[in-house]
Amino acid sequence: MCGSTEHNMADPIAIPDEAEVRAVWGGFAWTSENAAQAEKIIARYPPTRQQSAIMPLLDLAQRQVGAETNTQGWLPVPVIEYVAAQLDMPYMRAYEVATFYTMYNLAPVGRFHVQVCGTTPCMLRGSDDVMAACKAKGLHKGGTTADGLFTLNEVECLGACANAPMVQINDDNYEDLTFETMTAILDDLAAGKQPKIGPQIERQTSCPEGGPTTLKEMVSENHDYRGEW
Amino acid sequence: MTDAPAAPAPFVGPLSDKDRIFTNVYGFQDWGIDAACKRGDWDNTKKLLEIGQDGIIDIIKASNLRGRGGAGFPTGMKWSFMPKESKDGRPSFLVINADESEPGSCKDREIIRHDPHKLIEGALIAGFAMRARAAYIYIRGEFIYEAKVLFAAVEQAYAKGFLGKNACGSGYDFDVFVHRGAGAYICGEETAQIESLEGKKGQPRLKPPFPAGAGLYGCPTTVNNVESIAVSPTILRRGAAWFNGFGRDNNKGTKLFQISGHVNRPCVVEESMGIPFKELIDRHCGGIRGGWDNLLAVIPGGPGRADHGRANGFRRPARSWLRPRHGGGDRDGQVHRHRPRHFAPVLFLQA
Repeated sequence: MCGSTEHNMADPIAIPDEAEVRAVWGGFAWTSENAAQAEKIIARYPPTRQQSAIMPLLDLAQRQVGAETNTQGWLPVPVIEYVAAQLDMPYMRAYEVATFYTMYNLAPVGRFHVQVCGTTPCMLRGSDDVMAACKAKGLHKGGTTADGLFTLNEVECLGACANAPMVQINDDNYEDLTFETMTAILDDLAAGKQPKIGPQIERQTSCPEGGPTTLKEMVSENHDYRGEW
Repeated sequence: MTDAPAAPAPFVGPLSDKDRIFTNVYGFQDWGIDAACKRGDWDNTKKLLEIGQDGIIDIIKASNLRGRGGAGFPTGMKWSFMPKESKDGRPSFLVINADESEPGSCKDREIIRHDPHKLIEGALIAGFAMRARAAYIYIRGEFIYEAKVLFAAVEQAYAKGFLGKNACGSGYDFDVFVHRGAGAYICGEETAQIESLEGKKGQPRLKPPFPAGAGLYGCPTTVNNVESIAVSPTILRRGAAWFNGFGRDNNKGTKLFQISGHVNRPCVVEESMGIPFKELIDRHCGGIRGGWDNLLAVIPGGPGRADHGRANGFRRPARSWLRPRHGGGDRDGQVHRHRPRHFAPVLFLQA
């Protein structure tokens, strides 16, 4: 996956050699905690409709692979086979799901999966600067840095447009970014520190910067407006 | 000559705080069930259910609530398409579309992470009204924190007896499940979402059959947007006339607006439908970056589009909101009619 050339969305994903992967992941099985979680997930769907659980189980499996490799995880073929067998569905049906949805990684990624939103609302507010900050730190699109720390990808709208530009790193959103704040976040992560999650400017979630224009009582108390109905 | 009584002028904002539904929209306060109950959620939900299934649908119809996902289909009418009794034993399902993926239209996120109990209470009410066995909330995979909040909020509601067997003491059994997506824009389309819920690739189905006849697992299904569901308990508590008192004809009620792009202070805010575009931007977003003369284009989304086009402030009909400065040709003689100048102020507006 490591390469110096720019990755394009149309490029085929470099899937590691199968024999090698099978040697490592052929014996994949849930941890006891995840086995219990998997049962809980399957119970959300009607009996005989357990195939509905394929998406959450693939996510769970990817997280387990991530935990075992100290990365953000991916889905080796034997792991997909294991999940498909548990749900009593053909491997190909599970593989279709794994390849259809973008959040399943089909090749290993680094410890931090940096996903920069480059869709129009973020682009208008400076996602080019965010991407430039990543590149200045040696990250390159579609690849993992040599130290295995950072995988960079440009993604489509992640649904935080009022706080554009934004980036999702692992499970956390960092919002209202600039070149400088993005650089600081990458520095903190590389140094093993946890940067502040959410807006990087003085701002409460999607509230206008500088304080709310509405519902000001809510800032200091859990106000009940029903008395004013 | 007899004069017909003049119709009252439509209320087009600004909304007062007491008429805002999502009072914790910015998350200044706790999203948890105890704090939500103090704000009025789950307040005697049993009494709302006692209005009866047809009664609830009639109120939602009378409120003129239209689907908040963008297409604007009348919500009450949509619920009424569901079968009143199961002739062949198939259950009915409610699917709540939280796959918010359209760029520049992200307002359901604020409901899910800061006011989730409005959504869950609405799921029970809507599910009951359409005689559904359970609701599946399909939340996009990238909303990781939001999904955590939602899972926890659903658990809180079960722990209080508000969901599950004899939900809220009403005698009605109703379950709410959360299903996370995994990154697919197309799953916001209702039949693709149903496919995805069944554990398949999210590829849209052909219609007919429509979901109300054969949807999730081949059973009657209604797919509703998060906001459409989350406003329904407040509409029942305050009455159809209250909700219907905001906005202009065909676009009634209150609405979460998300504004991003080249405004001074992007935000999400709840306002009356029909609020003039200029007032919305000036009041809540601090105006256009560098002044209104800079504005080149507005990209509106959802049911607010027509209303804002009629707005008194921004005196242009919706169709001419795209206002390229290069129209007519450049110095090099080439026509770049739809290529805005670099850094042209453009803003996104979701209504």
